[in-house]
Amino acid sequence: MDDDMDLYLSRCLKNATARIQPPARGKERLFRAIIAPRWRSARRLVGSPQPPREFRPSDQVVYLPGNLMQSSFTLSLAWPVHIGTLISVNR
Amino acid sequence: MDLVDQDVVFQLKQGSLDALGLLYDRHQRMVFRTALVITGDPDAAADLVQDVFLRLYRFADHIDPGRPLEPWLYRMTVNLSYTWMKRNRRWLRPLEDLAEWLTGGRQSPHEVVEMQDDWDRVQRAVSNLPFPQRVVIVLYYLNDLSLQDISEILEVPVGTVKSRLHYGRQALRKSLEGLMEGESLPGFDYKGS
Repeated sequence: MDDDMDLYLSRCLKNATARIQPPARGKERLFRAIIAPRWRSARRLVGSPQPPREFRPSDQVVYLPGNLMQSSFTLSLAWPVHIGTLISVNR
Repeated sequence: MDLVDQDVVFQLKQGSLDALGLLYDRHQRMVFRTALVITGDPDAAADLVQDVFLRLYRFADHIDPGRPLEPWLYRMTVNLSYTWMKRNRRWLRPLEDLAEWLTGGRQSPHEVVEMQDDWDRVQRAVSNLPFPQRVVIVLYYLNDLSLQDISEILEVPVGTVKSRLHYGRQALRKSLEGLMEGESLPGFDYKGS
C-alpha cells in the first residue's frame, strides 16, 4: 500500500507543478539585479550619463542640463539643481 | 563538451556572469518547483528563485566547487521559503491568480480550470502540513531525493527525516482521500494501511 501512495503522491506533485511555468525573463531580471547597482556606483564615480542599454533601469530617466542624469530614486542632493529646470519623473 | 557544475562554480567564483547564467538555466526550474510547492505561491516562488541565485552569485566564495551544487541550492531554497512563510503567513493562493501561470495561456479554458483543480487539490493537502513535514514531502516526492540526501540538506538525522516523512504521508493520505472521494487510481487502495 505504501508503494501505491508513494507513486500517487510523486505523480500528483510532479504533474501539478509541471504545468506551472517559471517566469520567462527571470534570468534577465537576475542579471539586472546584479548589474544595475554596479552601474549606479560607477556613474557616481565617473559621471557617465548613459548606462548600457540592455541594463538600463526600468524607471524613467530625466536628463538635466549639462548632460547630468537623474533617476527618480537616486537624486543626488550634492549636484546643483535649478528650480524650474527640474522635470518631475513618474515611476 | 558540457561543463559539469563543479567547473562552472569555479568560473562563478571568478565573478563570471556567464557561469551564473548557465547554472540558472540548469537549476532554476528545480528551485522554482520546490519553492512553489512549499509556499503555494507562484509569485513568491519566482522571487525566491531570484533570491537563491543572487545569493549563489554573492556567496560563491563560500561554496566548495569540489562538492555537488544541488544540496546547496535545495538548502537555500528551503531556508528562504521558510523566511517567506514566516513573514507572510499566507498558505493558499486565490485560484483566479493562478491562471496566468499555467502554461503561458496556451490551454483552453476547460483545461485551465482542470489544471487549477489539480493544483488546488494537491496544494491544499501539502500546505496543511507543518513546515518540517512539508519540506520533507516536497524533497522526497517532487525531487526524488533519498532520505540520506534530505538529511544532509536539512542537517537533521535520517531518523528525523523518516519520522517527518511518515507523519506527512499519513496526513496527506487523509487529506487526499477526502478530496478525491469517489475517484480511484489503478492499484491504489484508499483504505490501505
